[in-house]
Amino acid sequence: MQTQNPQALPGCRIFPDFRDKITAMPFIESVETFVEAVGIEKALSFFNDLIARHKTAEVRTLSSLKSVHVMIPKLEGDYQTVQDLKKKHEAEDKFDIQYMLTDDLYSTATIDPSKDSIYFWLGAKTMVEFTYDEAMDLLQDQIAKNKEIREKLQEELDFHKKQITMGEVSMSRLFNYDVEMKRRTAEAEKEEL
Amino acid sequence: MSTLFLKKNQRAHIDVTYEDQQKICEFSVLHNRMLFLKDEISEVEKKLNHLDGLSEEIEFLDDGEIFMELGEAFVAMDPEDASDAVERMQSKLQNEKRELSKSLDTVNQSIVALKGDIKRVFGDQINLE
Repeated sequence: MQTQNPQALPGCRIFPDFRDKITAMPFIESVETFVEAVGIEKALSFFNDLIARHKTAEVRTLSSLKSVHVMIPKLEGDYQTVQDLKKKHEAEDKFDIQYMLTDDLYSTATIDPSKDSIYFWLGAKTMVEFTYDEAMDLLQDQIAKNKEIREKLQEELDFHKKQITMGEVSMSRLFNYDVEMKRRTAEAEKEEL
Repeated sequence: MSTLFLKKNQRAHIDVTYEDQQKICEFSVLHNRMLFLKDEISEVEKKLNHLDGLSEEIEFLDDGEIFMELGEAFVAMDPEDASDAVERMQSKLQNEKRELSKSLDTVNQSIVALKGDIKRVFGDQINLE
């Protein structure tokens, strides 16, 4: 049985959702039809596999979501810092700071905020100069983008969660059906004796 | 996890309709959302406690200066300005806590309603945490 694009699963409703190269979980309309058609072993293993794939995707999505979720307050903190610096710039007061020289050492520096500029470290040994306003715009932009990504990731996470839940309930139903069938067969055999 | 199980001598086999399945799925998503919001609220409360302690310490400082964070560096401030800054942070966090609590209440209401619906159909046969 294909898990990529289940064409027709007897007795099941298929959904077109296809994310992360994983199909959405089908819904078993009639357990009897499905099990009679494919056999209980194949039925259980089909759902088992699909659940596993969704669980993997869920873990991946959760990890990305956590990264973005942590990034946003960091950016908001940066924005606050730039705002505070801008105020000092407008007040035109020189001020002292204690800055981190090494992990264990701090040193004093005098900041002269007369220049309207702040530097962004972009990584890859690149630093870019911005004015305070430009920096704030850039940060707001970044914050908005990250919030959008967070929403999308949350939605994906919910999707995978729903598929997993549906899969697990389906497996319970299949299992219960099988137990019931075996019980009936055993009883029928007892009666014949 | 939510699972369906037949009791030992149960004959009648209650099966799951698509609508019921949707409700169970919705429940699992809401449940996760509730756990997440609870965590967030407790993080905010931790920060608020920290700031409460901080503002107490600042009060003891009458004169002198205190170093407040500016990014990863520290700036000298007099206790009054420092108090103001701490107050601003506190009110921001309290707003955040209010928003999160509101969301949590909404989620909890939905959970209670859904749980009722689901239990009505399945009774003991389903395990919802």
